[in-house]
Amino acid sequence: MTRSRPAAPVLECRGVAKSFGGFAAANAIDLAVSEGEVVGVIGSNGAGKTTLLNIVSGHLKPTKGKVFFRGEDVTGVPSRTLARKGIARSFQVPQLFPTLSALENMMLALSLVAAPRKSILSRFDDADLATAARDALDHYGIADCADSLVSELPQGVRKLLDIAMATSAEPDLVLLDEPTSGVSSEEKSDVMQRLADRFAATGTTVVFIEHDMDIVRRYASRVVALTDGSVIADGPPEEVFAHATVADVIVGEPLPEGDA
Amino acid sequence: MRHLDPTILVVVLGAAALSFAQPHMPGWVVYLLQIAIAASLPALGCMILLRSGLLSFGQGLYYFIGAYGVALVHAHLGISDAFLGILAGAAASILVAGLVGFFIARYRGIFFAMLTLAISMVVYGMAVKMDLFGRSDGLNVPRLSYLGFTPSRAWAQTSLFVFCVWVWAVFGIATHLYLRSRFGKLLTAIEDNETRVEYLGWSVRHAVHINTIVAAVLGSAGGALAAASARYADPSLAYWTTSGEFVFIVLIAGQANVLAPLFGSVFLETLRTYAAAFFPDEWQLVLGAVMLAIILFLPKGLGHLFALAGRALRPRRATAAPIEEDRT
Amino acid sequence: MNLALIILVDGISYAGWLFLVGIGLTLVFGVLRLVNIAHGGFYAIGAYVAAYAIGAAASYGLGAGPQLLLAFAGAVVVGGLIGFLVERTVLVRLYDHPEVLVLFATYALFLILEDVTKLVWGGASLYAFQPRNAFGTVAIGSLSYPVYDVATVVIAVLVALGTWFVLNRTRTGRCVTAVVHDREMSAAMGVNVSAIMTGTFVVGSMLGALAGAVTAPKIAVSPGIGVEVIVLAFAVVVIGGLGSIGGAVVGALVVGLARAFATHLFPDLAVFAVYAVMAVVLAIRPYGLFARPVARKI
Ligand SMILES: Nc1ncnc2c1ncn2[C@@H]1O[C@H](COP(=O)(O)OP(=O)(O)OP(=O)(O)O)[C@@H](O)[C@H]1O
Ligand SMILES: [Mg+2]
Repeated sequence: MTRSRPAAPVLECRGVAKSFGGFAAANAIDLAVSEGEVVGVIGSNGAGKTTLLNIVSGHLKPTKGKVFFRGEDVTGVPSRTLARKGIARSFQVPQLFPTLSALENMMLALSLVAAPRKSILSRFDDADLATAARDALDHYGIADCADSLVSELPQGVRKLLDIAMATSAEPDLVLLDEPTSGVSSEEKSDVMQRLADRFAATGTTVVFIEHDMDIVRRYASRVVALTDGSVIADGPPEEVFAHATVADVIVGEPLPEGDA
Repeated sequence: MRHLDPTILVVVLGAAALSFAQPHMPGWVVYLLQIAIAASLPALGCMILLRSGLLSFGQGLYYFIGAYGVALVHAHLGISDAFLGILAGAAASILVAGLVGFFIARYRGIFFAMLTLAISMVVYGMAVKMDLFGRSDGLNVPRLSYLGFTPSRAWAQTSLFVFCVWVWAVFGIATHLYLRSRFGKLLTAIEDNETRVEYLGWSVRHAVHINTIVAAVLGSAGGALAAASARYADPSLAYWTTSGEFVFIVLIAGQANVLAPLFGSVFLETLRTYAAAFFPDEWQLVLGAVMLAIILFLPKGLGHLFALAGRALRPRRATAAPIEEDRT
Repeated sequence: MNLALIILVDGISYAGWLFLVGIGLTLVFGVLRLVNIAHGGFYAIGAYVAAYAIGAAASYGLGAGPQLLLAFAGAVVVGGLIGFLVERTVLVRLYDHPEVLVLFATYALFLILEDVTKLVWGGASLYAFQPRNAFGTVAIGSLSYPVYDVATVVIAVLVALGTWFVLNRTRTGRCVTAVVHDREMSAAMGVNVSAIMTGTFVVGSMLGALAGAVTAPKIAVSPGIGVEVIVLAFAVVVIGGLGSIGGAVVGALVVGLARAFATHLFPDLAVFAVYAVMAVVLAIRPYGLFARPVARKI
């Protein structure tokens, strides 16, 4: 189906399941995300959050179910194609080019995903490209590290560089896997604020995985809770955090008796 | 063009200097340089594959195709034109690498090395049994003409040498531009992190596929020069030890610049000349020992010595963060 | 009917040989994570030692049995010694180097071993057909087949069973399996990983030399025999899955039968049979029949 209705959600998962040799990491996940929403995905370790992003971003093929992007069936479409269609994704473990400098990483991102294909044969070592890359790094406050090799950067900076590279092409849908993990606690809200500002300004739809519930409460317009590969709650933050299993298993602070 | 690229400058000036120096060089030096130039092209192919961390043990296949391009175009079409010979080999290797690439582009590391080796050995096994390729004796290659100009006997050697030098210059510069392009950087990035490359919207497999084709063309150009210099083409060009020598060249010279394989190749040919004089029957032993010594003591190749010297001489860049010396 | 029998017998006999040639390679890959191109060198050394030993034993008037015993023992001892030297002096310094460099180092070792064999035994061929001829032939159905070739298959089966037994039923074997599975974890659990690696390489070299020794009475032992073998052995173990012993058995059978089939029905294609099988298997299962790639966690 390629005909897209005007009201089609940006992202839709229908009965998405993934099993790894018999072990079900995702079970019949249904999820629809509309334009401009900021969805926080929560769940304990191994709940299947990253697996869900891997499927949505085309890194994994679902065992069952379908994924739609703006009404178009993109099930099993590889990540490179989705990246060009406007789905950007950051990683829990930053995926960088460790033998290049931070600036070169950013330059490469800009010259690959954010540029027309035919420019691929033009010179890499180009002043305009370098300036654009420096600006992009500056946007995330990491321009100071531009000339360091990635393998020598602290974890927090890598995380930001990873996000900067992922979002270099003005995407429609941004998937962030634990954007603040590894970032020092003082910088956490700073980073998140920067991201929120940026995506609010462009009206970009965001799905982010996060373990820090304060961050989720503050920035998510909607929360999806996963347990053992299934969605157990989905709705506005207050509602989801009031869910007994969510409070008990994911947040780790059971609700007081009779409060559910 | 803002300012001239030093590598291009060196290549052009070097080629011009060699062209004029040829009549004053002893015959064995001319021949040695010609063979070194020829072998450095497939080695350059190995080098661009190594940029993505891929070790090819089968570049000899394209060396073979290039050499037979010249030989077969003459044997069957009666054409002895140097340019057409190179083109024929290049076209054939684009075809072969285009097909082979579908199969091998998804393999990495040991698999890539051994599969390229296996493929070239299949072709070798076929060629030694086929009359088309002159079986194990090979085919003779005529004295070449150049776009209708047939040099006199006295000038044939000079013409061929100048031809080799400038063919190298063209391919060397083209490869240099290729490597310094964004695609060239993408090739390096593949070794670092394929997942990220894919998420940046590019197919790693296509990039590797394209790169194997480019490497194949370089290899075939070298093969054509080798056949023209030696005046024959035989199946041993596809034998895996031939391919091994190309990797050896990259290994000893490092892979910093397109000129590296040329130096490596001259080093190898010089070594071969002296080894032939002093240890006529132990060439492989000498080659293996030198290789082991370099792997053990200079794993980044002799070329790294130049890089280290250059870095010691150059003033440190004044950047916010210090650049580490060692990138691995 | 007769043709089918011939193909079957030929195929199995060839498979036995292929297994002997491949087992050392796959074992070393499993434990040391390196494709040992020098394996072909050990094969050649084994063949030379065996041919020499058979000649020497014959000149002392020993019978075919003792000739072979001496040949095999000599090959295994020499192969093991050289393997030990190579691992301790060269490979041990390279384990933290990139895969590509290690591969190249084994190539360099192969070149050196080849020339050393040539220096020791000269460039001429050695012939050691006596034991194979002495054992005569045996009737399999309507075929008469050399006893020696049947014995080769028996040796291959014994080596396979022995390897299986050591890996699964002994303490050392379980340590080896642990190292194959996860080197860091085994080290943390107190397994002497470096000893296991040395030991495996020595055993792998011995097996390579044994394969050469077993082959010696069937061929003209001459320079260059190692090259072909390394490519074939690689094909066999890649079909089964690098590092898998069961894979080597299956790979050997598949290649052996395919080649016998091609030799008898399409003789012109026999050279390609091995590679065609390899290409088909890898096209369907990119890492061989019994190996699965480890997905990188992102
Ligand atoms: N490629 C894979 N092969 C096998 N199992 C996998 C694979 N990827 C994930 N799993 C398993 O699936 C389950 C869900 O993993 P996933 O990474 O999605 O969890 P998560 O919710 O992101 O957890 P965390 O908060 O720790 O990141 C885990 O048990 C994991 O071991
Ligand atoms: Mg996760």
